[in-house]
Amino acid sequence: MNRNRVSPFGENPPPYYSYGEEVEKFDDYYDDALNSVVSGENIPTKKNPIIDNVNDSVLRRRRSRRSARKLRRHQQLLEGESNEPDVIVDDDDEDDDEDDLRTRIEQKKGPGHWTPFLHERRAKLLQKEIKQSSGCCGGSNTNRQNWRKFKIWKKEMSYKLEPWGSWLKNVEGHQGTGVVSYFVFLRWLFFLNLVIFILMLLFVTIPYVAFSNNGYTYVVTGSGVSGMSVASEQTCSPLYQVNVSSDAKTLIQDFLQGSGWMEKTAMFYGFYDSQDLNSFVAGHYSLPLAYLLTSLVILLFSLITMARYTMQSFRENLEDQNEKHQYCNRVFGGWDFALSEEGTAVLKHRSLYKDLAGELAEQRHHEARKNMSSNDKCRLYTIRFFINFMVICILGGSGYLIYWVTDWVTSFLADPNYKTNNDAIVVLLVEFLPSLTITALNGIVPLIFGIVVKAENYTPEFTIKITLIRTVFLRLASLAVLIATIYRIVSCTDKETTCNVGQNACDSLRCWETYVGQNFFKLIVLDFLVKVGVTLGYELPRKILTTKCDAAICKKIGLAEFDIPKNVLDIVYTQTLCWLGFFYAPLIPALATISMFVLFYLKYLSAMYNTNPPEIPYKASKSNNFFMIVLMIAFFLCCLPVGYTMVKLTPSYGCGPFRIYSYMTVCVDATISNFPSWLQTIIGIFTSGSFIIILLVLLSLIIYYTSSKSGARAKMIVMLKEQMIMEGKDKQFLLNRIYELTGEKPGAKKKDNKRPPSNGPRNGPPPSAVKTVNEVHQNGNVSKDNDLTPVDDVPEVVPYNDPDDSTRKTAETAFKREVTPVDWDQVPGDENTNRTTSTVTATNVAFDF
Amino acid sequence: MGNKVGVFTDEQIEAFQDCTFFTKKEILRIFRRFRELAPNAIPKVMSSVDTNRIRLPYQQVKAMTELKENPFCERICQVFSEDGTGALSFEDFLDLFSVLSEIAPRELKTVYAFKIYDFDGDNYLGKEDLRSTLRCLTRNELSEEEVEFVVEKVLEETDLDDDGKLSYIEFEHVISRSPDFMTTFHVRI
Repeated sequence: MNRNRVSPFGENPPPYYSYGEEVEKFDDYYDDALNSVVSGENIPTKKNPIIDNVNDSVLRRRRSRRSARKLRRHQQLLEGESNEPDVIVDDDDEDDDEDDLRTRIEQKKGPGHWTPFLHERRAKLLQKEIKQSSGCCGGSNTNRQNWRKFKIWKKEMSYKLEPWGSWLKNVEGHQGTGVVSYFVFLRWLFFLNLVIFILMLLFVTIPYVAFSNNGYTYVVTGSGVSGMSVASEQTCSPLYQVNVSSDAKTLIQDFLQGSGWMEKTAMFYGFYDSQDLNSFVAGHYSLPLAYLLTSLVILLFSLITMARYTMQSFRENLEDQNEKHQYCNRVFGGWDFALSEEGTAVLKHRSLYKDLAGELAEQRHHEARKNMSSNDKCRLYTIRFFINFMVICILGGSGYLIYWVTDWVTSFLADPNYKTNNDAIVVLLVEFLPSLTITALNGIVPLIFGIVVKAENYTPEFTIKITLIRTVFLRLASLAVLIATIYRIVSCTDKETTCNVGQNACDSLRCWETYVGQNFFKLIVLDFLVKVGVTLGYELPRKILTTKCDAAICKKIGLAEFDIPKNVLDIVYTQTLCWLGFFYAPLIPALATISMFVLFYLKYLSAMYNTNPPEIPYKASKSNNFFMIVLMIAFFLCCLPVGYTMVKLTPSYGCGPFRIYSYMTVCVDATISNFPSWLQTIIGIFTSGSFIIILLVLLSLIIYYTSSKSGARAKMIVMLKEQMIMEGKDKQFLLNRIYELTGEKPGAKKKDNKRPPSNGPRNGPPPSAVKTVNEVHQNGNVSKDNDLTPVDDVPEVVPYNDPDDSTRKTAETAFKREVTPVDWDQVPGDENTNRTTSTVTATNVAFDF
Repeated sequence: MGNKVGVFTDEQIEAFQDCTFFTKKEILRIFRRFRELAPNAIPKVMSSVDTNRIRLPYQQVKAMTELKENPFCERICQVFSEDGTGALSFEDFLDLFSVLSEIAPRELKTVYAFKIYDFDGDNYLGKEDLRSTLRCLTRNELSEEEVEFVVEKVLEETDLDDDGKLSYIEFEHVISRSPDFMTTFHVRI
């Protein structure tokens, strides 16, 4: 704009030259524009505020681009390479004029043109290396290089070791990031279970299997500790017998329900016993203690990993609680750059469209709500109340059903002759009845919820949320009822005195821990089978139906949708079962690990081939949080029964590692009683009530401190935001001031600044600006002499992005329009306008009028 | 670090590694992808001059699976090509995927996202830029009135200084609050 070019062709330049000029103007404009984003160096007075925000090390500009270009040109000339037909090669074998022009364009581009940062960084690195090697510390340089190589190698290895990385990429291309977040979650749970399984295997199963000598040669450790009785253990242990049949059908049946021969494997609690493993290294290895501590470590480990996983996304989401930027999020973060499949991209377009249209509908919905008559409102609330009541009834009914079924099944199985009286299939069905009921309810009830919620007329987003909450509630509630039922059976008071086994009305369970373990075992097995069944028996046929059948009705059915929330809840449920069951059946984590592993491939299959991406846009970041919160709640719910079992319930006398203790925690007391007395005192202090109270008070103080700190910061944020708005208003004020001084109306100016819709990207400078420059040309105000002024002598004015920026721009335009310079010195100078004045004067010089 | 493939010299590879977020293996993979686009035009052995000089026109780059479906494909190529036409040299190509890789920092991604969304290159996201973005996103399915509404809403949320357009600072402010941006603004390759 400000750097007028010489025209070697005089008044009427040939067409291609004028084209060149256009390019130049365009380049000028573009360079300047880019300049102010990327560089901060050309700005004489002020640093570009943007560059302050951008990490300097990430974004730099190549300096020696001009010379590099020249060098390259020479090389090309020497090599004499020919043009490939379909590739653009920088060639400069054109006539001199154009070459000259090009060089000039390039020269001008030189420092200002934006270059990709790769070249730049390389140049910098090279410089650095030269400096380093020329310096004194050549030795450390090689060290550093080795270290760098090692780091690269490490990175490479971690990529290589990242399991299922390429699988995730495929899914991402096909289904988008929402679905991938499900797979990442699944993978995470898989590893969590793997670690739990390995812990249990290493510290409980392997020591016992490897070192036990098949007799009850326990050593009663601890002296003076109450709650240990060896006598009842000796009488009761032989009474706990498992009927193992060799019939093939029964073997399979036993495998599925964890009874018979399965009950005698390391899978269940009853398999282990309370002996100290004397042969283990030197000294003894107390299995009960190991069992208890490993369980506690597993719970703690799960909690810590979960907390870390949650915190990662939670931190980001906390900032966005007020949902202030939801439209921006949709527009700027809406497209999934990872998508690479045409069909999916079409779906994504549609989903984005639906999302936005839905948002608009929601706005209208709000408007409609506001205008709703009280009559309508009354009706809506009645409907909602009624439906919520119904939902509670359904939940209650489901709970009662589970309770009743479990109760009935237990009493059915309590009959000693049930196996002979009934068919094997019936027995199997009855055994699985509680699990079947729970699984069926989990499948059917959410469907009902999905239907009734439509009548409630909630906003779309809330609809998803409330359906999910109800479903979660159902899942957890059904498990809670199951646990309560089992508890009722286990804690039945009518027991015989010697072995503490139920009699009369109570069910006689010789090893109740194994019984609990079996229940969860069955649930996990069934859950797994159902998942496999749904994938292979429902989604696959639907896919075949859609692709192979040409009838209109088949097309209408279409593919199933990959329902992320439902799928995530499914794996959360499996994980809950694992946490609940691992104490009673130590190898259940193995089962869960296998289940997750197979599920990954199954779901991959269904994500890649059998299902469409969800139509409702799924916000990975938001919902992940929700699922982690559900997982946390499930975890704490799991801790309750497990913890209660450890502390309050009497273990079976006839089986398990705790058979000689009246409570499981007694084994810890017994171990402590063997410690030296000073250690015992210290432990006594740390576990005393007073110490715990102090700890609690301290913790709550810390919480109070951090929460008040965050509150103060929130206030600060509000203040800063207000300040930002004030700055904006300041700028508006200044603008108006300038308009007043230049004698133009703000309204007219604004209109002028508006750009007509551009047909394509990089449309060049706003037409108004081009026009003004042309006007200047035509008016002849710029003489030939002026034209010939060397470009480099003209002080460059590069726009920068501060509130003054547009002020200056407008001033520039105004200036060009009016041609006659305004006497800027006359500008009345209050403090604010002074700044503007100086910039404008700079412009004055720049135009060389 | 023996470079078995022999496309680049060790120095080149090292320079690439230093300047991008990729490992050697990934660089070679990206080169393979790059070469796939025009096997005849790109030599098997790239000298340091070739990496910058030989450029694929936009029409050929567009054919890449990772970019094909992207509504902003043209903009991306323009932003990353040295001359703004959308033609990419190998270095530009590497840059592109480096910025879009998972480990690229948020600041870098934000700068490039801003450039991509800035259709007219005026250093601001004006209403017209937003309109173009929306049209790209929804494939012109929104009606004019709806587009206007969304544009107004976006400006309402972000335009702190009330000038009817988004400056880079405002954009960065928004992006730092957008939890989805980091998950969506990347391409696995």
